[in-house]
Amino acid sequence: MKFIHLEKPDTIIIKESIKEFLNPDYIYIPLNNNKLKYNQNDYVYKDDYLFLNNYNITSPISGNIFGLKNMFIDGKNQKCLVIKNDFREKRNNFKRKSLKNLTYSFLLESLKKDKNLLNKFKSIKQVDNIIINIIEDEPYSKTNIMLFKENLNDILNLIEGLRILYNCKKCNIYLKDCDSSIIEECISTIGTYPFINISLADDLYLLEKEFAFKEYFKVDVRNSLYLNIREAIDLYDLLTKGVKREDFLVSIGGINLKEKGEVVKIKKGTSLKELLKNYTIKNDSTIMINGLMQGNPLLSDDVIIDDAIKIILIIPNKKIRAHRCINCGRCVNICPMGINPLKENNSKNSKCIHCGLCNYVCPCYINIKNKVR
Amino acid sequence: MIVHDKKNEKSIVLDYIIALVPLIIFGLYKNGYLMYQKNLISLSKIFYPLIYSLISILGYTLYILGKEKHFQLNYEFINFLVFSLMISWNTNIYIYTIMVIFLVIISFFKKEWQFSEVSLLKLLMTGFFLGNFNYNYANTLELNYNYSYNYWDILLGHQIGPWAGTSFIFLIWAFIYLSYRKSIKSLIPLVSYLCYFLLIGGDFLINKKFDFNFLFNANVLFAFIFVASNNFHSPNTKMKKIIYSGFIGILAALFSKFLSYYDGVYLAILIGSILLNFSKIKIKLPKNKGNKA
Repeated sequence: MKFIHLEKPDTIIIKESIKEFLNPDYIYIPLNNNKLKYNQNDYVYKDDYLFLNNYNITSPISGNIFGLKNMFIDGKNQKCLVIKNDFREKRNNFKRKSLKNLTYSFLLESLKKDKNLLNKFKSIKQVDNIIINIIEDEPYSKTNIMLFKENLNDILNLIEGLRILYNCKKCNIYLKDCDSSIIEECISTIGTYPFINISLADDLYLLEKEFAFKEYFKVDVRNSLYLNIREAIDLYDLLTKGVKREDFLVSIGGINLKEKGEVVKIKKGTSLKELLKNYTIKNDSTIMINGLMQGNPLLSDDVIIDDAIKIILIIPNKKIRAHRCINCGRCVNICPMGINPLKENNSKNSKCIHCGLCNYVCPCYINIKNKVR
Repeated sequence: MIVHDKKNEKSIVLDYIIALVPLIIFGLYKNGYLMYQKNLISLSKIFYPLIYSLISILGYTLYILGKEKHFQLNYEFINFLVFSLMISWNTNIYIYTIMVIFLVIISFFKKEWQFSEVSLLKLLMTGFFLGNFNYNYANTLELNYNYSYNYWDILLGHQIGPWAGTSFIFLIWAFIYLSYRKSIKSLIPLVSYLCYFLLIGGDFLINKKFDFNFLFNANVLFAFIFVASNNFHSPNTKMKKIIYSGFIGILAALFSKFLSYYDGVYLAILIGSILLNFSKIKIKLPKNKGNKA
């Protein structure tokens, strides 16, 4: 696998600060065939379970059930439950648990709400190395690093709890060397945990992906516990609160945004339209959801922001005319999955991870990624 | 696109032009200046071979204006430019112009099925298909004088061949430059020349008859670098590249030895590029309806 440094001009700048946007008028929760627990106008508390058959989805706000509406999520039109915010943030009381005496059985019990995490912990019996990956692939995005900075104490507590549980001696936090300014701010806190090391990685693309990370750093897969920053925070929340948090960070920026780019803290299910009301967008703009490499242009305004969205970029609506394919083979050679993107179809069996490297290297500016998608 | 690799189609073409400049300059020196020194040609005729390139560029302009409605540097430009450099200094200018017109027509209509059109046109031009396997590549100087060149002179380019394709050293430089710039499928020239070299070298060892010109054949290297690795008719995957280049390397050695010293390699590339189309055909095997054992 080839690891490359992306050529990215400094035309887009995103500030390393967090702006809160936690009071949207409405919140949209996709139904996904779940059975509703509440009827119209019923009152829901923050962090209440919204569905009878799914205990993973909780209300990010307190308020009244407003009704149902079709919205776009991840490019698909889905029916959503609309909750009208009463801005009181009322919640049923819960006690935050300590991670000091974490046990394996409690860990597995807590992770029942997240099958991916549960499988990860079930598959590992002995841990010699705990890895937390903060690296972010998408150019210009500051989401992961700000998430790390904001939740530094929680992550350090989690690592310490897991370290004691598994009796392991190596704990590494991986960041890109271009994010080292944040490290300087956090170093005094991290310094109080002698077993936790910070490792700086080169600014290479795809190190956010687990398979690429393990290949690049030659991680011993058998005895290493690998968590990305989001998994680490979800794990911390599930172990301490029993539910995942309902707010998350998104980077917003772009050439066609009059304000400077920034990282915004928002509630899960916030409407993009409502969020963008706070910004001045130049005419003739394209909104790129999830960045310039892995993302796609927005087709409709009725989009709700969920935690799958990490960056929103507003760029000029310029279309570069693609040339005829010259069969140079650069897309085939660069593909981390070893597939021929030109021949790949959009079937479910496709190995394509939509990393966008084929588009990036194509000398003819062909949108190969969209063909696969 | 805001985030994109620096390399684009235009930069690839520019890389090829840069790689070809030393070969062109040496070609003008060998086929122009040296002959002018011996009073075989006039001063203005030093640049005579550039007329072929000019005709090619005009042909390309015709093609691109017909295709895109405006002038731009496309990958096809390499085909046109390389075609003008791989011909003999003695080539009849009218026949060459007709061949360029053919190249324009083929480039215009070629779609799914790919083949090395420049190889085909070169072989047509030299009368290869009519049985002329010894087309004359020597210039007036080489025809009239006898020199005893040392190995260094031969490597530098003092050997008979296409007007801009005789310098082995400048070809190596062009290959290194294009590979470093990642503008060429570098595995193809590498493997094909290695196969050629081993086969010819092996033949010399068996027959105990050494021919330096044959072993370090700039004409063959030129064809492998600029014709065989042409994107349009060469494979993309590593395994296919090795098979394709190994195949044309072996064929080139055999054809050069037994058929035509100068044109054998182009026949090898033409066959290889045509056969490659068959690898693209997907064969659907009938499902086995029999009971499983």
